[in-house]
Amino acid sequence: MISFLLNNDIIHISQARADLTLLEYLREQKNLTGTKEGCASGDCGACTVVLAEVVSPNLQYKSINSCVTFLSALHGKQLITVEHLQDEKVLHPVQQSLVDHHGSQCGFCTPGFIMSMFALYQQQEQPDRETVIQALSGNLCRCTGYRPIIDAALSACQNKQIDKFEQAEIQTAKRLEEIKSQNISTDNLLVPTSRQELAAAKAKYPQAGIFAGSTDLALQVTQQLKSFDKLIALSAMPDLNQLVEQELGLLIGAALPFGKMESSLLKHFPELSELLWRFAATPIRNQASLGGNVANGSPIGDMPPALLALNAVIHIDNGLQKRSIAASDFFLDYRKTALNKSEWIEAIFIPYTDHKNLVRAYKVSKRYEDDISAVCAVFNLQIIDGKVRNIDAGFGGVAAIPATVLELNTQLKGKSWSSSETFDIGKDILKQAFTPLDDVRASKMYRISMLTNLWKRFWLETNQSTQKIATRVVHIPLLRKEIRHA
Amino acid sequence: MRKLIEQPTFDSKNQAAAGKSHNHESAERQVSGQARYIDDMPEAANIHHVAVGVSHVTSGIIISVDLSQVKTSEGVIDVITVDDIPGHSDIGPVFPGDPLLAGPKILYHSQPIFAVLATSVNLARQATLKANIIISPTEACLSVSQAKVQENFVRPPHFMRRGDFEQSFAKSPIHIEGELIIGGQEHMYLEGQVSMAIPEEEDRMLVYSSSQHPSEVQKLIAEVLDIKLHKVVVDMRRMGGGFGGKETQAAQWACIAALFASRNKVAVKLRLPRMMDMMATGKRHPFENRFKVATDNQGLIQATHIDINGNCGHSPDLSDAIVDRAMFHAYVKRIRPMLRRADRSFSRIPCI
Repeated sequence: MISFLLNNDIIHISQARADLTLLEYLREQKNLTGTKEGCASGDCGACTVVLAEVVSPNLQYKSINSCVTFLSALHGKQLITVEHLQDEKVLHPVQQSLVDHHGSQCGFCTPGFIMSMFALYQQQEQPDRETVIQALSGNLCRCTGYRPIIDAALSACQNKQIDKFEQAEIQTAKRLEEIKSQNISTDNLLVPTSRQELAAAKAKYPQAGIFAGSTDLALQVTQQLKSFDKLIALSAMPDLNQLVEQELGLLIGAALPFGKMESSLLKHFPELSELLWRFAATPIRNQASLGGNVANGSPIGDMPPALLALNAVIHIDNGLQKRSIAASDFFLDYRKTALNKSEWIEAIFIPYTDHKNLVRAYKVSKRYEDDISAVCAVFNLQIIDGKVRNIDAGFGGVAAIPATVLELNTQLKGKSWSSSETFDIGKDILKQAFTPLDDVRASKMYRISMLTNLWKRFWLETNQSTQKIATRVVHIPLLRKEIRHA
Repeated sequence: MRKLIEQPTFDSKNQAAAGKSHNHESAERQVSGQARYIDDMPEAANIHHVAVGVSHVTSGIIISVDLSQVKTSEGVIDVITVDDIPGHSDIGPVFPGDPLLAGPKILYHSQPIFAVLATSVNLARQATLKANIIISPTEACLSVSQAKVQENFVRPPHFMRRGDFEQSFAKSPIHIEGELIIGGQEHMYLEGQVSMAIPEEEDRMLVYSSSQHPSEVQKLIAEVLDIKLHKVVVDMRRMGGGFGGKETQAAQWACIAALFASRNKVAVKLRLPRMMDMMATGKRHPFENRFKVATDNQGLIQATHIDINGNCGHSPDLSDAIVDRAMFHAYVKRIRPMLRRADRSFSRIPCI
């Protein structure tokens, strides 16, 4: 039984269509039509709602896209919709601020923006402009323009008052603790809590979809009109939802949302910060998991190139036996991975890099925060005495699978990194390495050019002598901040 | 978002031309989720939902349409094709050329061929996947250059002339030529196309349509249903954006919803999923323009010729006005302030 608070009301669900999205549930079953459908694919943010979760003794508020969420994600949480923000007849500070800053025109994107602003309001005392932009990165506006909306968010969050949510926080947390049950499963939506249960569920329903954050699987329902009689959620699997900073590396549970592991990941791999912010918008990262990004075998998924370059290891389980394979052996062919039918990814291990390693991750896409890469490239270089000791790399968007280019290592090993000849050899290797597709996202020639241009950027950025050359157009304060912290 | 200047140069909270700001009249309802769009309205009892089945071929002739499996699909109430339209089957707003449902020619990719009425949105959409349609493809004309070679124009070319371009051009010592190609654009209203039709007494029809042109929707529905204009009421309170994309493009969905409502005497809603919306509706025109300019040795313009070629898609729709307007704007804004004596000639060709 899935139990949660819908705004202030306790709801228990034991029977429902497995693939009922949260957006359909709100609009069609609860008549809460303030939450809008813009795209039903997690791109526009019109459907943004907020989930409050107990992180003892407080509540943690996260924005999510209700259009790509299944009901199991609600268990034990408070689901807050736009209708619930105001206190009697008084608008919530984020609502009043958007009114005062003239931040709405047609108003269709507005509830989604309000919910992203509300999640930010609950998280940050004094967010800066960049933080606001990131919090709003999953919301598209087509008429007003973003400046008044950003101003409204900044103004509300910088003049924070105690709202009704803060007043009720302890009581809400208590109510949420009380409604948590052991058996979350409904008749169609299975939520196993142990590897034995998961193995049994997979064996019983071999056709069932299996998901962690559902940001990818839900698209099969909303975009391809596929229906699933049964679904298996990984959200209550203890081993799949933990994060362990081990002695030699970071062990990331496969089902853990990015939002819960980013700070640890960035602590050890600060160079991935731009890739991470650009991986997806905030509401998607609050749901999406690293395991899902790997298991779906997308040729473009933005983390697999990083995992290839960082020599990550994929831990696989089938309930009886565990095995581990290198990320480079995991991707076999287009959407085909080394996972057997009975298996799932338990965790992903990323070995720490030496502080001498030069790691850079680049993504080229049209939309800044929420888009599929045209090309993604991650390099991991070790230099000793000015000479290349080792170079690992991962590329996305250029082949049927996320791929590495071994020739970079074999041909450049021992060469002087600052020599332009080294750069040229690498460039020639990358030019020949792939035959990418022409598609709507980018042409074959564009992808090859990007690949060699990113190689050039990497070479420029990591060479002492040429470091002064500007290699970036967009200024990213957070990237610098993160690296400085590390 | 990131292209904005980081710090605003003015306080958007207090700035106003006349010294006083007024809030948007709907702002409080918009920020609290109370602003009501068509898909948010309370639904009539027993409301049914529509999905459209489209062509996956860009240009061709329909050979056969087998909808037997669509009709027996779960929840399906009614299925229509072009043969089921009682009145006009062409809903071109100014000139003919926009069929409500395709047949026998396929004029563009994702052109609706049939529509399904079912008990739920999902069942209607799933039923559309079960059609068996055979189309014999023909070569599609997709670019201005192709259209010019084939003289495949949706409207006749227009010309504006002043002076003698050829003579001034020939006399001038410096000649410059070039082209300017502008891509097309999706309107990207956040609220997709949506209509809700409610049959009323006798053969009257009430239609809620997210349209920028409700009176035209009223006229087209009356013509499609073959009833008098006064029997159709179109209500349009609020749109989630239109940007021109709901000027003529909203009518098709309102007409299909009204047709189902009329046939089945039930309330009907048609809401296009985003991907279908982007594929099946018209876009802002791409242009492929060319210019020739002649100047004297000081660089003063003596003669200009501008070719304005609008890629209008398959039908005239509003393209006559749009491509004309592009020509007028180029004339007024670009040339006139530069030199008063120059000789100008313009041609504008709306191509398929």
